[in-house]
Amino acid sequence: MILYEHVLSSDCYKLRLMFDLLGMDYERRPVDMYPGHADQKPAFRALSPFGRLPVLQDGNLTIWDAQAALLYIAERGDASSSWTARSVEERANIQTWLQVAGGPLRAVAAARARNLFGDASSEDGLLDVITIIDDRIVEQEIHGSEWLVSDRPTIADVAVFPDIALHEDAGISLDAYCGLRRWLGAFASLPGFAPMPGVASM
Amino acid sequence: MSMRQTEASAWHVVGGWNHVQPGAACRVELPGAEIALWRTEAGAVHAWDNRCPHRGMRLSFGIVKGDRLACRYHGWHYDEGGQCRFIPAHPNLDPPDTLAVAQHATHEQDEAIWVALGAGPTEPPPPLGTDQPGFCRSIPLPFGADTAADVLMRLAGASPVAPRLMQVRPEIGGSNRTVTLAVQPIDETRAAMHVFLDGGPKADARLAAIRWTVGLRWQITSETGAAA
Amino acid sequence: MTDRLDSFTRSQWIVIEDDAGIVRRAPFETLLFSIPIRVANGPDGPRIHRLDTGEALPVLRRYGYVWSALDPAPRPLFEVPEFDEAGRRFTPCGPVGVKTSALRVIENFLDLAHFPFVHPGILGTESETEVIPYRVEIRRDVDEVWAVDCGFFQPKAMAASSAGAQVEYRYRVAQPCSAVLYKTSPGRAGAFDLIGILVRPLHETACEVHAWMLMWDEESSDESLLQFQQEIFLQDRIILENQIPHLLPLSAGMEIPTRADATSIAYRRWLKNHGVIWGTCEGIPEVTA
Ligand code: FES
Ligand SMILES: [Fe+2]
Repeated sequence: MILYEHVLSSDCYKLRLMFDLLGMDYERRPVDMYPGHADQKPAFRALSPFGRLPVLQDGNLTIWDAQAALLYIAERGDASSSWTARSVEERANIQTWLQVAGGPLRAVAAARARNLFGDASSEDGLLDVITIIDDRIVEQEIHGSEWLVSDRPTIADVAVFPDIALHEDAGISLDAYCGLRRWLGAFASLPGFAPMPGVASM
Repeated sequence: MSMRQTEASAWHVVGGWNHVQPGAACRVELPGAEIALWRTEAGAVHAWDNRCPHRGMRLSFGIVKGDRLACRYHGWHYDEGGQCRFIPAHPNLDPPDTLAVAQHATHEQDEAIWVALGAGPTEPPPPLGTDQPGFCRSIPLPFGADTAADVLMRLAGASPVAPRLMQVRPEIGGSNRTVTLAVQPIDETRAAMHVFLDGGPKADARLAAIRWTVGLRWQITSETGAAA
Repeated sequence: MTDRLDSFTRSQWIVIEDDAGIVRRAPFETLLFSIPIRVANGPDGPRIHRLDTGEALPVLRRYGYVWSALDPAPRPLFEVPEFDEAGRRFTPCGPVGVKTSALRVIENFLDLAHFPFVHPGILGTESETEVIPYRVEIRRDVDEVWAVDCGFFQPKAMAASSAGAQVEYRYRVAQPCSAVLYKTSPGRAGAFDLIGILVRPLHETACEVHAWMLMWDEESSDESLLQFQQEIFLQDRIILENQIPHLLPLSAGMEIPTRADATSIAYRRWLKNHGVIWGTCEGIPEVTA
């Protein structure tokens, strides 16, 4: 598979993590999103209609949504189906957190882009989304699990991890969110895990 | 002035037992102080000034290696006494005794981590309940500790039992149970609240108390119009 | 805050934006030492005005960047003759915002000892952490701080590196907020590649960092060159924003250096000798920021 990506993008990190956690090989194709603004060039728009990274290509298939690409990699590369849903209930829960990753959690990525590159951003709901994910982890811990869905890590964790792990870049302190800090620590000790710049020590 | 001095010499709950796990470090704030709170891999908890003596890096970003904390920036190792033991840029150098991080007092009791600035009071901190208190949840508060006491009195019906400690008996999982709220002062506009439940470690009661806390948090948010 | 603007700082050319950024963004408003400025395109090139006083500021185009200064007659800009060497490849890496003093950014750029911990697997490795003694000199003719004979083992020194190598470094502080490093080129035997950073103070504890590369490298793609440098700088950024205080201490005692910090010691002393206040702890009785 070919991953069109940028080394500093949290959504691209998500897919690199999934490949690494599954021990899969893939080809990295860097795209000059910054400072070159490849998203404003027609050639890139032909690949990614909204001008966003990552883009995943497998043969004739092109996927330009991070969550969809994440699911695709997991379904292709995970023979044991450990990272994807094993029941109807799990599928509903995983889907919920994928939607959070592609929706409310984007406020964190936007705050980060503002701090790094001076992009304009709206931070509506920034702390709400942090708080809600922290609540979820703390409840899961009471049930004896350290993961967002079920008792094992799934693509829901992979989808949410990058933006939370890059909280420092976004100017968000996790001092008060110890559930998130424990979850980040557990994630970082998964075999195959690799950090990216801006991911604080865990 | 006197207020500040009382805070400075007092014990403060800074989190539950799992606020920092063995082998981890985090940042804690108290009035006028920023602290690196960390646990050795064996589980001993330490509270230090959050600034590496070398080039000022926050030690809360450090990496725990056994019973030492290694600074994130240039990897200097500090032992449990705060003494620098190893400088990787000069592997054969014996670091001088003057290379040390200032320490603060810590105490663990009732599933809480307590910190007092400097050497701390001679007396241990008060109990957080009467019947096997257990930690439930911490939440950040968007106002100072004195306002926090007023708000918790008004919204939760809590009453003060000791400095920075309040109690309330809400219905938790079908019966009224004693909940202790420990308020951690930070500055004029921020504090934190740590919630402890009497009655021993029963998962369902604890879950109910966590949900009660989350409910209280949303109530505070909507009443004060502040972000959660 | 402008009362903290010392004369040495005021007399320096400061980077505003790279040429491509000017084309893309102008007209735009930004900050220079907490002073709001406006950058626009005029018939004869970029024009820069202070928004508080309306005063026009001097403009210089050099090394692929547009520069300005608070003084009407700034000190001459430093010389980098390598920019005139045919065959070198110039890559500006785009500005990145950092919430700390510009001087902390420069000091981090001059630091060898952090490579194994902040850039593991790229610029250093935890199995080789020793900093071999090197020489630091103040070059009086140009009034610059230089560190020479610096050596370090690097697993992947440059984008074009295929294996680990013992790399030779030279560091040069050309201005308080501009530094250049010369390192062994993997693309041409006996030659040096140049990496520079130009920092514009937005406020005393916030800045915009422009990194550039001037290299012998015919193989790497633009994208991989850029992302190599951006990855490294973002690894430093999280360190920089968490160094306390954000203002650079110039007086001894507040921070404790070792021999490996000789460049940093010389840089701080040089700033102090020039009476630099902006971005430092000088004149602040109790620094807690
Ligand atoms: S700042 Fe901590 S080791 Fe250098
Ligand atoms: Fe660095």
